[in-house]
Amino acid sequence: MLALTDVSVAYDGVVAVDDVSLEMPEGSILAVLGPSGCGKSTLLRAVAGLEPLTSGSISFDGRVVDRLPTHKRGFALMFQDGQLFAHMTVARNVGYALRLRRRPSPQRVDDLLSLVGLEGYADRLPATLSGGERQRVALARALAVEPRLLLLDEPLSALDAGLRERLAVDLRKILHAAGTTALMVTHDHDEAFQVADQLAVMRAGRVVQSGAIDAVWSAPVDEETALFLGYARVLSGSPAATVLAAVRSGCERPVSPPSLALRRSALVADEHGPLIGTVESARATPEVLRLVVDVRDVGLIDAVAARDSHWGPGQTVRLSVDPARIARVGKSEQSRTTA
Amino acid sequence: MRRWLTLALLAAGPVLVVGVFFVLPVSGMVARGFWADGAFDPGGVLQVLTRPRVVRVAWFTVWSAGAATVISVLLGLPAAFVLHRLALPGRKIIRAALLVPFVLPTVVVGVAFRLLLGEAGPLGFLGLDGTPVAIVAGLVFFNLAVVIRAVGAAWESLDVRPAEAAAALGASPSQVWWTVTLPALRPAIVSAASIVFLFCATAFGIVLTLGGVRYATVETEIYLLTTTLFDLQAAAALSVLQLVVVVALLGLAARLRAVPDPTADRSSSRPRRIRRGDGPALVATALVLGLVAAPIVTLVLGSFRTEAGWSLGNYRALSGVGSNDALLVPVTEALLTSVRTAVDATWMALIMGLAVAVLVTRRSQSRPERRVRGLLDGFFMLPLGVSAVTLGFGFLITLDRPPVDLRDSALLVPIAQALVALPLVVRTLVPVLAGIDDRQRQAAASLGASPWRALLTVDLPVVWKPLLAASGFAFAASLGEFGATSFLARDDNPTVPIVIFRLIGHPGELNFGMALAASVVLAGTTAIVMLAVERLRVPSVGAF
Repeated sequence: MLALTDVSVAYDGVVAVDDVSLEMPEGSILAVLGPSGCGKSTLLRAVAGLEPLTSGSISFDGRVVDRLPTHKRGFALMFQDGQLFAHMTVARNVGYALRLRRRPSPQRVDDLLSLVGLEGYADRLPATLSGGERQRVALARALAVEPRLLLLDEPLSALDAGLRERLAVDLRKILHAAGTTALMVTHDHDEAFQVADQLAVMRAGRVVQSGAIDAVWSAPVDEETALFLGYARVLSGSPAATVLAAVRSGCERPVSPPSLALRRSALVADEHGPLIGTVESARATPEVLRLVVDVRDVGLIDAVAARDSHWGPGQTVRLSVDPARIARVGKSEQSRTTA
Repeated sequence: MRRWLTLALLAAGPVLVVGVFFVLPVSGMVARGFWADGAFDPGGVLQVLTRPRVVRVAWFTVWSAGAATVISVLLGLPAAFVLHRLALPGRKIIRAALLVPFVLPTVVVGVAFRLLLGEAGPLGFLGLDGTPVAIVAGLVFFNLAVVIRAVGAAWESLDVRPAEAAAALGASPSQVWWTVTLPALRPAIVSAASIVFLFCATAFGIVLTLGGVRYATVETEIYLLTTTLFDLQAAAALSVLQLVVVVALLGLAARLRAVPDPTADRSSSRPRRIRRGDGPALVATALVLGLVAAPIVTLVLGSFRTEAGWSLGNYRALSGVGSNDALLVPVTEALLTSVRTAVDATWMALIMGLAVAVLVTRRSQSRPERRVRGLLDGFFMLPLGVSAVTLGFGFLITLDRPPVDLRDSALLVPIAQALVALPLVVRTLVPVLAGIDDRQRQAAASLGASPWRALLTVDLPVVWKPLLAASGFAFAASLGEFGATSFLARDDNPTVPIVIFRLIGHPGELNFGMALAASVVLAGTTAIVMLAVERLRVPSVGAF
């Protein structure tokens, strides 16, 4: 189990990681999610032993590893762009850690290459591979000696969208198959959801929320976190009360409503819906018709309609609320349980 | 078609200059070896090469240069690491100071080492004066800067992440060094080592002043055969041998330098804090500093010592001609000649070097074009490989009759020095020009800039500093040039290195004191120029 206690890291006096505490049970995959520059990569490097801690401590299975140099920690780090050794073939890259431990095994290298779907690539040089192939090789290399902890630095963000989605699914499958405990940092919430089962949201060097991925997702701690998790709008006060009343149709408007985070598809065109608004604009996408509606007592808000319906600016539309696509924003006891 | 025309126009000038002033003299030299007394006589060359003394000289050249190269690399690597990778206080000043020996006139280096190792010197008790050890030490002193610069520049721009990735995979620091860092540095180390070997094998001033007649290398032997023994056929034979060996060496180095994937990731990384494990490297760096500082300090101290104790007497005597009329002109006049010659050599080297650098870095659009540019690149590096003595001697025997009669021209010495400095200028400018993304020029062109305008917008802002640095470098190199100049300078119009050599060849306390004072003046001038160059922070200066 990896445990970070009050970890801080500073560069030349500028604090990059500020008093972070996290715990990771064995076999779990934790995603640290945050905007670029929030200190998440520094946190990862600190765990790897590449950045000295200013204060706090890191322990693994109860043993403090702060003073242990990188190569003795037994954590494998996979860089954003793979960092394959350009002068070695794919097979030599993958077998690198095995050779360091004086037990080279061509069989193990072959197995790893087929695990990441790259049979027959053994003799290629990294320069001849595509971005996705390089990341797969880097993953195989990192897994070669079954590290007790795998550290992933934005493993998929260097790839194009389609490839990223495919590789994210593969990555999760491979990590689960290998039973590896993994800590990944990313700025992309989709990537985090596809790969991880625990989530920690980081901002300005601090962890603002952490917990099981569903728990965090259904109750973001504040407006900024909600927007970063992919919610389109956050409502508070009277508009939030109106939307909440529409969810529990028939209920009274709550007097002091919580803030509400809405996904873009939280409101759906529905001829029996309780909310009424005027269509401002409509845009077709491959799956749904996306509307921007000026809803009475709420204001401008996103909504969706069936792909084959026809809506145009100026038309009046009734909307209902999909409760699965809204979340209460604010402190919730359930989501504060540590990961 | 227009591309080829531009290429031809740009190439014409430098090719003509190098052709007339390099290829012609050197081939004249080669011809002299094979055609003895008007008859083709290759047997004569072979016969020269089997003389016992020639074999001994060749063997001494190879082993002294080899030893100096190995020591330079072994001492230079830790220093390159400490000065380019660690946050050592004052490392910029130390880096600049370590570059000074490289441009120090070779004669000055020789004088300094004799003073240091001589019977009366601080290290006289070692009894090293006039031994091969002294020669190797002098060569190491001279070439350490090359290793530190070349390897240091590569090390500084080396991405640290592959090393971190290896450490994260369980590699200990020494395993990281052997499996990741060393392979990445290998091209830089090999090219530094081959260039150092080249400099050592063709070293002239140092060997001549430290080795005398007893320990001769091919280079000093050519000088001796030409000027003292008048055995031109033997001298030519040795020049040919040197030419062949040097070209073979350059080819070998190019092969060794080739790596499976040359597109190494480059990024500039911040120097890191000093750790306890850096101790040995720091000690090695201190040793390097000591080796470099000792001869210079001894030289400066010696220049202030006269028969009457400490005084400026040696410096005051520089306005005279020395005791027993050792010189034909006062040293001060020689200094003026030196500066004038170096200025001429500098603009010549700069114009040619810029044309060559632009020529070889432009992107080729077709395979034949690429091949032509590659050939030109190699062609202009030739002066680096051919010894200055061969060049000077070649000038002497080929440029003394029509169509090119320059025997009495004041331009002869500057031209020879410019050719010696040309590779330095090209090697400083090429990495900078090659580093400019061609798409920048394409972007300028697509916005409506003419080729000239694009040059002004894209290239000039990047290149003016390196250009200034290259001119300083060329100036310093010309100021200290001894090999070619010793053949070509007229007795009544010598440069300072020639004067120094003449002074140490004449007996008399005052003459030696004057040689020391003149050495300090010359070394001080080159050092100031180099420190100014270093302030421009052009990484490719001195990195081959």
